[in-house]
Amino acid sequence: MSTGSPPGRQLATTTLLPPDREILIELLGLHARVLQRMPWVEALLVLGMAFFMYPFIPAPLFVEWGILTVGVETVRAIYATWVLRRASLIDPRRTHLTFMLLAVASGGAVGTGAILFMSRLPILDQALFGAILFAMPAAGVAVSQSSRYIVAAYAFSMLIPACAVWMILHPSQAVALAVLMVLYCGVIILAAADCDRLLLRSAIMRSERDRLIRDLEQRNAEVRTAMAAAEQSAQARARVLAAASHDLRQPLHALSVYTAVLAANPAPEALREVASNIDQIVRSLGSLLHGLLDLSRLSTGHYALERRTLALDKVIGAVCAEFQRAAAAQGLELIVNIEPLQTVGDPVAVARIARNLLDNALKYTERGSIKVGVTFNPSAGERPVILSVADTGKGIPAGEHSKIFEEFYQLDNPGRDRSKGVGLGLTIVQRLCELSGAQVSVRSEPGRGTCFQVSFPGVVSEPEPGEPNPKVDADVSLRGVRVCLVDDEIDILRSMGHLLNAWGMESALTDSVAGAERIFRERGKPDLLITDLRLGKGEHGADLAVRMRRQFGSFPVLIITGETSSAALREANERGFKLLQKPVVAETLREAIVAELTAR
Amino acid sequence: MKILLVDDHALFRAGLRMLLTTICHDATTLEAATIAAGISLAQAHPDLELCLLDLSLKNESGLAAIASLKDAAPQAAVVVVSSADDSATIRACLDNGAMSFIPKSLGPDVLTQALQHVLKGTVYLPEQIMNADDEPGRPTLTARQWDVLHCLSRGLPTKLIARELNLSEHTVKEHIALLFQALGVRNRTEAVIKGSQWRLLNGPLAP
Repeated sequence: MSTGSPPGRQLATTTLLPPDREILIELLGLHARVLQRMPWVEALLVLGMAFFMYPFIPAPLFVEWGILTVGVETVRAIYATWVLRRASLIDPRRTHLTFMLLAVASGGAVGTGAILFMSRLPILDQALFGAILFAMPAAGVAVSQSSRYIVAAYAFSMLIPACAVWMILHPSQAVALAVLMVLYCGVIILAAADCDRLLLRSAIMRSERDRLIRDLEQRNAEVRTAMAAAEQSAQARARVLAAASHDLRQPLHALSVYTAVLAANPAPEALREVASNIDQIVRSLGSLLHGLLDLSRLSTGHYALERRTLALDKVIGAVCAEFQRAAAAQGLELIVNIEPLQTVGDPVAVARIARNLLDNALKYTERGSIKVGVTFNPSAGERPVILSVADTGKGIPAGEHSKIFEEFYQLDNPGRDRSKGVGLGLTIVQRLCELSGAQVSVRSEPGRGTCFQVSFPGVVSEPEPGEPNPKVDADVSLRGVRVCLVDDEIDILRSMGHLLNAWGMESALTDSVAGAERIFRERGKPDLLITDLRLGKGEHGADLAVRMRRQFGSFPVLIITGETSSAALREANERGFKLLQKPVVAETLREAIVAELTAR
Repeated sequence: MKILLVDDHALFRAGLRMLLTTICHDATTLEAATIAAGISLAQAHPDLELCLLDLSLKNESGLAAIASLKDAAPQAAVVVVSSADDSATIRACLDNGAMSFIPKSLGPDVLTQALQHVLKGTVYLPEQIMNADDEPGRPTLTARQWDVLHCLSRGLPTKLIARELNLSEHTVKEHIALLFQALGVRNRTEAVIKGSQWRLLNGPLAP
């Protein structure tokens, strides 16, 4: 095996990358397919040789040799069939090796013929037999398809016995024959290598093409999905626009009538009614426009929700107070049952959600009561804070539950009586919930009433009675305090770094656990570690803090996180760290830092 | 003069009521938010002269309501007041027996004028249908043909025209045929449109 070009050797010796593996399987498959035909070819060959050998070779010996060679080929064919059936499940390298061994067996079987028959043949037939034996490895190039190794195995196992016998019979030609054989084998192997490369290249091209087609199909599917989404949103927009144009035109027409009334010099006592009606129309137009604008802002994602700690009980309580009078005027009882709870969110959005739900309840309830509740349900998982608004109104048929959140959908108001509002309230509630990670659900029984529930994520605490937080001395100087800040979001890292530096702190910033470890090693234990809870790549800020404390001794730790799940809270709490919710307001951060530093 | 207003938009209805009572001092208005309520009011007031009907009422079709209202009060002229203003809708209303069609989108001045027309018992149709085709020449009609045209414009069926004009139904049919010929039209709707295009219907209502 004197030759072997680099790519070929790579194929056989280096670890197979997936595409290489695929290609090798492909080539082995081709080889296996050719092998399936080989028993017939071998049988014909044996038959052909029988024609010129029968006068000189004892029949039983020849038949035995024929059976041996055809038998070996049959074994090869059976193995090839098995390989083909297993297709991509095979281990290509092992299969390749097996094919090589089988090629040795096959070549050897034919080569045995030389040992058995050559000496019994007259010189002319010896030459013919020799020629046939030398021709067969050339055919092997085509048979092996893939591999010069298989060809080499076949050729050497056949030609070495053949040449040896020839050398013994004709010692004078020994040297020349040896040289010729080596040259011949070299040429054959080179030819096989060329074929191999060609085949490899076409296989690579094909696999590349398949990959491109797959990519293209995937891209097409993506485009189709995007188009469907765009179409859906266009339809939603068209629906909103159609409903809005009707709802906007109606009050405009009415306004036009009142203008006509005013132009016609109405009786002075009618003026009060005209004014009050115009006022109503303008209000309804205004609320429609506000609703539409809100909805459009919510839909385009331009509505940035604040995330801060808020006293949910206070926000909802204030909204309920707004509605007390309206409820009393309608003869409805407004029952408010609110637990003191702190959560994280946007106070404006939360108030808006509560207001729209209350407004809705008031519109659809003729008698009875409206109950507003805020409760903490620790078993509710991710969203344990629950706001519920339950009325004793006419209820919503089960079939309409999903529709009530659609724009401009109004129960039992096909005539779009605008005294019942514009039909955007619940849509806005739903959008706000989506944006703030809350979930809205509805339970209703026609005739009995409806209950809307909004579950908010991330309770911060149930505030202790009285003043929960002792006032932190904001004047404590932070100058010179060495702080290590870890956050995988570079923007946050930078902005917090600026803030800390502005307070005169010496900050060392890093975006990874490895970086933090380096800072600890190089500069020693800092006065304070501020770290994000999730640091990307599955790294965990609290774990880092625990590990560093173990190595370097105790130091204050502040954990910040964008997560609002109670799981995150628990993780930090279990390790005894104070948790700050992102985005952290400068004041809160300073207070927390001072509290951590002075606590020690 | 008793006028029935059928519209589900309470504020619009109130506006119409105020406009009507302002421009017509002896107008008394009845109001209904649904067709059913309108029909029962029409049945309860046999002296109803005019009915202003919105075309898109809740889930009910105002188009079908025209006929029901005319059944309930054959003597009253039904005028459609609608936010629609396309020719197809206008023609469909006239086909169903409406006397006039007032789009809600009219400006205050035109709206007042249109109401004054219908209060006087003459036909009002929006500009686009009036200008649909502008054949010159004003046909000369006999006094009887004038009477018949007025009755047609009020959406009266042949039987009622005969009763009103003290003629036999047969004679009325002949008059109608001659009127169609004179106006060059094929049906009642076209006759009313043509009549109003040529301002034939501006005169006072025949007795």
